[in-house]
Amino acid sequence: MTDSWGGYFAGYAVLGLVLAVGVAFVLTALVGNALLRPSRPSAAKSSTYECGIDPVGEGWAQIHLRYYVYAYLYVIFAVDAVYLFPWATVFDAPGFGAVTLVEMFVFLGFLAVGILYAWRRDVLRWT
Amino acid sequence: MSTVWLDQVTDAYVPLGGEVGESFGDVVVDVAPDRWVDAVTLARDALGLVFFDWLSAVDELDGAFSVVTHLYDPAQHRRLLLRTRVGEDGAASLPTVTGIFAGASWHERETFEMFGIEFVGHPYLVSLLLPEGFQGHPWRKSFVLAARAAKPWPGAKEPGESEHGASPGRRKTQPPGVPDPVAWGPRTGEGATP
Amino acid sequence: MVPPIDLPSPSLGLLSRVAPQPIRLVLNWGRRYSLWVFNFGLACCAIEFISTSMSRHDFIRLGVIPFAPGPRQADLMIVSGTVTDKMAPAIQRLYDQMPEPKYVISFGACSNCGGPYWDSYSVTKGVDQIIPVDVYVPGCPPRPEALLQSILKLQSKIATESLATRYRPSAAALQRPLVTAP
Repeated sequence: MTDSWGGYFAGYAVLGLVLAVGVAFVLTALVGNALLRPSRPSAAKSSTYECGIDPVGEGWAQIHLRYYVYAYLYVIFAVDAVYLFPWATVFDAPGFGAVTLVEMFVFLGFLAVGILYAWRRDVLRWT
Repeated sequence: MSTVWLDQVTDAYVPLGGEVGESFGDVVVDVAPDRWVDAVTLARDALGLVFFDWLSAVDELDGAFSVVTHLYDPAQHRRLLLRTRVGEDGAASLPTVTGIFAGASWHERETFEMFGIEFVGHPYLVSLLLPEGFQGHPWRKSFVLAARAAKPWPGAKEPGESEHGASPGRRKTQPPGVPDPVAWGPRTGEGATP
Repeated sequence: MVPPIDLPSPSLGLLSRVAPQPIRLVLNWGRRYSLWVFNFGLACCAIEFISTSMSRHDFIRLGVIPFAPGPRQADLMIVSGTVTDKMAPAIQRLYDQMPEPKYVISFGACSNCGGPYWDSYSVTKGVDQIIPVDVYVPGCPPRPEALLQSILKLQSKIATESLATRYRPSAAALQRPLVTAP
């Protein structure tokens, strides 16, 4: 039983190690830079960049709501791909029966409704 | 063809008292400042010069400025220079032609800031190109180039000087704007210009 | 009267100050071969700068990557072209917005000393009146090869420099008289 437990957690240990290495990499770069760089803060240096002239207006620019379509289509197609790939590698292994297939088709049905909405909104065209 | 154009212009400007002449191949009409707006309107409406090319001024070195505008007819490819004299009695001012050609707005702003000629009726007569806080009107011949006072001309010749150079006995005349270092600048009193 | 600003005082990183010479050599090597340039192209010299960045002369092979998206991603500013009095405050501010360590190359006669427009009413007689310059490139306009040489000169200057002397100058260095003109 301990072997199977160690085997189960071994994968997560690798993941944890990768995470730790990533964090250490970033921290080393930032701390190293902080220890090496000259620093001369000034009011002009931290002023907003606007090609050298006095900045006018706010830095906040609002994107029009009609661009939600891009986010929506991204969710449909990207989520679709992400969940299909691991499923496709295991669904015909022994122990996974027709139920697995039906489950995935229910999921694809939801996505199909989403694509149908996009189609009816006439956004699935090139121009 | 050009004599036909010259005659057309002469006939058109008779009632306004304009004097028609030629300047470097272009037809020029000299009008009085109080007929300036009428002259430009006549050019646009009666002579077909619907394209406003530029408006600027010349410091004529005799106490007054000439304001010149260049108008063009894109259909028949004809051009005309309209000229008037301002500033003879002190303050230089001229009515604006932005009511006739909206594009004259920036030209008049530039002429105002560079020469100090006021355009009466201009909707927004502020400086266009010079930095804020600039004092003086740079394109006037009387505007002193301060750098020339601090440092003499480093070249061997003045621009426009001939290859043989001036004879050594003759005192060189300085271009307008170059101050006499004896009278103006950090080297005042040092000695006359060589 | 400018009110006192609540900002941290200027400093140099601890490792930079105590780094032994071999480490400093490596750091200088990294810094001089990865100069990101903030091109300040104002006039005709900008065209020569552009041609130097293109394939025939190509300063990218020296590590100088052009077209930094802004002053905050650059450490080299090449002022190429005539500096007018109206543009001078913008140059000053953009130089201020560059992070340290930063270097300036003055490219062309106009940014060196005002150039052919030295007596104009609207020209700043040399960009070194407003920002410190490391390398001057004479010419009107200088050849692209001259810009390549100036980058090499700057790189050899960086190779021998120490950030400590540049950013924490001694009292004697601060009291040094201005360079007199030849």
